[in-house]
Amino acid sequence: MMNSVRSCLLSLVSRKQLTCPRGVKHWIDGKPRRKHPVNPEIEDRLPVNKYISEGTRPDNRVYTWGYAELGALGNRNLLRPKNGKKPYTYLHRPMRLWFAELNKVTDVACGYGFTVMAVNRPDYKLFGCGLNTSSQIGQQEARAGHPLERVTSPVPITIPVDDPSIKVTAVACGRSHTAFVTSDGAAYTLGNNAYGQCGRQVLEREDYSSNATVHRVPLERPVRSVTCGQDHTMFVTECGRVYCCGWGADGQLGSGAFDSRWQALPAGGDLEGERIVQVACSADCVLAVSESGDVFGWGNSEYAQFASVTEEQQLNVPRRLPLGVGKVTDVASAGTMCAVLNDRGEVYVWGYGMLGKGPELDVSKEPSLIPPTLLGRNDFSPDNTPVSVVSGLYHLSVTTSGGDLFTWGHNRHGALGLGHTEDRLFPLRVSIPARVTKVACGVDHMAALCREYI
Amino acid sequence: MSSTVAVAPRRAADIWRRLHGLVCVFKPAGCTVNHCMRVLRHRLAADLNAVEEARYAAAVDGRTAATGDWAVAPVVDSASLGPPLAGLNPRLLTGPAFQPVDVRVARLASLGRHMSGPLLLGVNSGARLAAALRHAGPQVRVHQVTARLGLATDTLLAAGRPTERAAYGHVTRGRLEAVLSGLQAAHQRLMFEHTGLPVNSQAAYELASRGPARPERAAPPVIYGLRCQQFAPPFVTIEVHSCNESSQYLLTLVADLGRQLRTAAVTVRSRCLRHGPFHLEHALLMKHWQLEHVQRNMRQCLVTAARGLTAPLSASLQPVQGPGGGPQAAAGSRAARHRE
Repeated sequence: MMNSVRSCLLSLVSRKQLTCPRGVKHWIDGKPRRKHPVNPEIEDRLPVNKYISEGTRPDNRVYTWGYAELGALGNRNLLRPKNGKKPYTYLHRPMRLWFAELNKVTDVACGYGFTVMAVNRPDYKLFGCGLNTSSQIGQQEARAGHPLERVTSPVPITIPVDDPSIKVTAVACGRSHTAFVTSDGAAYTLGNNAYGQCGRQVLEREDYSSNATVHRVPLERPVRSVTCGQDHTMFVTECGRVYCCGWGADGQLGSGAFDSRWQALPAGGDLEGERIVQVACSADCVLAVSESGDVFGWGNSEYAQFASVTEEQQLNVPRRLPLGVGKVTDVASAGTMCAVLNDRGEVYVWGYGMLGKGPELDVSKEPSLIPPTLLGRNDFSPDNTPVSVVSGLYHLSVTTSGGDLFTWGHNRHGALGLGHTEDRLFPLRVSIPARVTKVACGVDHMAALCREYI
Repeated sequence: MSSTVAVAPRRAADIWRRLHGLVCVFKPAGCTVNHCMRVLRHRLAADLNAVEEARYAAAVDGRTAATGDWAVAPVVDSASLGPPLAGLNPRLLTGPAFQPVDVRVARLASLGRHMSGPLLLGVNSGARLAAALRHAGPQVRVHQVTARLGLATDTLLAAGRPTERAAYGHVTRGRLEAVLSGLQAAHQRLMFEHTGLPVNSQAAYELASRGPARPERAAPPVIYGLRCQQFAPPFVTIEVHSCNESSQYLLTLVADLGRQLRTAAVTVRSRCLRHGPFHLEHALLMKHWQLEHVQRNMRQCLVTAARGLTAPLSASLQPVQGPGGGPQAAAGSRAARHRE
């Protein structure tokens, strides 16, 4: 009823609207509706900005994140911020390192509170930042007799290599020592030597706080790579032998005994006759992979890392692990977890802790496959496969062929780089606007060597 | 025109009683959603009134209808009509029976003014579907966005006022695809952190391990797929598969893409190809927004919605195909087995 009364009053208007709704004709003509017409010459008068040229090639970048107070992130502005802001305790998301914009960083390694970078420069080949209480990043003194305990920006580490054509090819960091390999196949160490982890004789009452010693370890040349556990060092030579020195109470020297040793001697056991290409260790459990894809393990097994071969809590002789995951290409060993990557791009985890398969799987004696969909492979990107596995002490990370970085585990001081400090029980992608090529994990910080898209 | 009809003419009231449901219309570019709703309201009201006119015209003597002289009292066939007063066309007494304001049209989805594509509207009781659709979960939409490299404007659209020009000669297809894949992968974390489940729960892990997950309604936009469909500098066409996105988000996406490519970019055209289970083929063109077409479209949408929307949507997503062929699913994969 109301309708009809209303329609009476509006009859004139409604008749018009029945024929042509207002505005239909206007836009049907195709003219763009704009309140103030645009002058088409404005575009021609604008200068053309050229940000990069056709010949520009993608650059390397370094991103760091995690615990910042020790200076391991290499960014001085985090600890001495301008504008009177509070210093950062930690950075829970990746931040680009200015140092890598000015220098060509070729390798990066994270220790316990410090970071070391191999740089392609004729004058200084190694740079470090972070904790320096044991001279793990060289002797750094602002004035004589006053060593710096904490270095907030990357500083050069003086090494006994004069030839400008020799570069540092590999770097590794332990709890308080650093080891690196040069392109001529020599291996060097610096830092704390309390257990012989630097491959030189242990001197009683040696003061490590301001120690300029960089020791060349006498090994058969050429040395291909180096890996540092917590307090021991392992050198892998070109012929595939693994030389170990340092703390050995968990059998991580692979010598058949539980003694610490400063002499770097080859690990025996099942490694005899094998050609080892990769060794991984962040604490005391060592995993090694041979050229043919077999996995060997020795060291700490308190968390059933070697349950496939022994019930003991330590394994002091390297043993081949019958994992049954096919040909393995990469291994990673965290404090309580182990991970392997095979040639089909599958990542298997076992051990104890946040293995990466949700809250229900926190202990596993056999390798357990992480669903490939969690590591970037899905129907939208079917070609994204993992290419490397790296572990810190409490977390694991995977890099894929598409340049993605996935992390999971205990999130100490934002070390996972996911934008918060909560633990994550399955892999999540770290947001880095570049292709990640190499990742280094420390205890509570990480560094990623990346390549720009453009 | 014969005044005796073999079949009783349609009654607008009968049609009106059944005019409830979901209609999928094609919203052209340059037109706001409100405008489309208004046009639909007017057209439906006009058509319903025309049905009534036809019914009265059929009941009146053909001679009077031919002359159109309604002032003369018509000779009516009172048998076919109701009470005596009904002999006169009520339009002359009280105005048209159906007013645009009577037709309730509600929007069930949104599309930006510059975008075109299928738009879901609810007619009369169909407006209540909005709550049901929201409950079902956000739909994955496929957009085909054409961008122009080398230009930045104030509105992020190519028709805006130019603010910057940049060189784009260094942009190659490979570089563009690298940036797109990085952008796409960056949303993986967003996807899993906005499922509505606690991230560290077993349920969240199982959902994540099944594949791309559907975000909850109030989540930020998530991109599932970005593909370069056509590369003809300065114009590039990108197919975007996303959830919870808005028109402004897609404009910003193109502008950010330009920045990542070390140049500038603006959106030339943005077409929505698909909204959940509704394709462009289901969408009614504006010239067909008439009563019979709308009724038929409602019946079609009912079938499509029944297939795709009645049950809560699965939490894990499969790629939604654009008309040019979406992301190619691997043989024997989940997508091949469960399409929608």
